Amino acid sequence: MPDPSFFLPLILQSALIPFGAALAVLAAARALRAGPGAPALAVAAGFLAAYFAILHGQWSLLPKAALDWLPWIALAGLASAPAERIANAAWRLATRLALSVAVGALVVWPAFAGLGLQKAILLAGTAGVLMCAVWTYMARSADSRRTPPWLLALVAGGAALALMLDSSQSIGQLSGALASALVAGVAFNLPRVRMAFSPAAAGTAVLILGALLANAVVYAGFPPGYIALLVGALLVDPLVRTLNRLRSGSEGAGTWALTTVLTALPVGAMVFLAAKAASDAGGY
Amino acid sequence: MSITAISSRSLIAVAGLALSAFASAAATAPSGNYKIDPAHSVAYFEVGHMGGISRFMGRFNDMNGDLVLDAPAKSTIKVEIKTASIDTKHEGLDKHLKSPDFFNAVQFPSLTFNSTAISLNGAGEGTVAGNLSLHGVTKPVTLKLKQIGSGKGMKGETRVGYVATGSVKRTDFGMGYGVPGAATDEVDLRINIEAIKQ
Repeated sequence: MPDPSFFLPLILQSALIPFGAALAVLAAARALRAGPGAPALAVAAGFLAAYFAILHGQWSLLPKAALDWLPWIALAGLASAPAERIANAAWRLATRLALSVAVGALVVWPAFAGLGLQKAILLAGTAGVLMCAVWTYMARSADSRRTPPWLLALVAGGAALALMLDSSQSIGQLSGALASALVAGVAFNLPRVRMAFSPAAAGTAVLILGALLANAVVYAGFPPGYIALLVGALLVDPLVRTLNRLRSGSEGAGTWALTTVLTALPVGAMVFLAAKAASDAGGY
Repeated sequence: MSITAISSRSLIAVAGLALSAFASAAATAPSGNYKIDPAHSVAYFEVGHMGGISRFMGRFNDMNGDLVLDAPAKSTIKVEIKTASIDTKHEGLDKHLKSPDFFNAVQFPSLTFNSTAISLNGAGEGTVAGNLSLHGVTKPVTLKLKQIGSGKGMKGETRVGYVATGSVKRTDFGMGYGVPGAATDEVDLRINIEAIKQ
């Protein structure tokens, strides 16, 4: 049994604070009849509260380390709200891509000298395109289905465990905080939807998650194979939806459960591999 | 001559040799420009684990730099240590220490020390003040300095040896993660340098 003095601060910083902050924002927004930007604000607020609880002493207003950019990236996610109101789909996509690539570039930039131009462009570009693709998919059904925040939380939570086991505890804690903020949104909408997840909230969550995973790969030796498993996990939902459409089936609780289980498989595989790698390295 | 008399003379002779060797070691090193010999130089750190229940040590295997030896006021020491060369004899811990939780070795691949003032007494002991750059932050620090010795190497080259010791707070350098639960704020440093005259 681990010592409570060790894991209680982890639970407080990575679960309770972001969950409480996101829930408080959603409750206040509902009471004030706030606009559709509230779910994005709740995700950002939950994440930022946890960020400063975890890394308060290290943050620099003018970013020095790559992790210093995360609060700014969370705020940039909020800027996706006006972007999501652009009527023209092509311009909307272009704006998402520009924001995603900019986030990828911000994360990679501090390591530019060591990586070199070619590798830096490849990493920032790949991160940007992946973020844009996930954001676009999640935004399409963000306000009509319950699955997007739940699946993003599952992926962020799994990444948190893998990161804490085999990479960076601070990035792992931050990923756990994002998962908790998303779960707060899911919980707030049970048993009935009171404030639906929005495309802007999807954008905010995806940009934060993408920035965290890019940080992990570039600075903390998080294996790209783990990223591939997370991408595989995020492909489950469109695959299940496509198969469901071909069968002309409706999307009920069974589909939701199947999607959750199938998404959890590659996430679980990643956590298993991270635990094995940590154990093979001696554990400590 | 009694056995006791021989023993007493031998002891005096041995003591005399030891004293002259010490005096030689503490003597002023030949002035000139020196390069750090990475094979015989290493930087150690020691930190308290889990709030200080124990002390664990690590070292950096890749170190280089230059020394200019002259009168203390004109002497300088420049050291560059590659953070990715951290070695705690534990692969998992090394990986964690290189991550953004601690040294962030990808973004900050080296830590440097550039002296600003050196003082040494006749016994070869004193201090070296300088700027330590670590984790993107530069702060003045003062370390104790001891000249270990000087002499000729196997190829006739002149070699000198120094040890610098001291303590820093890692939070002063923006390395605050896990203080003090994972590792204490205070970190003891010991830098053993052997340098070759150019």
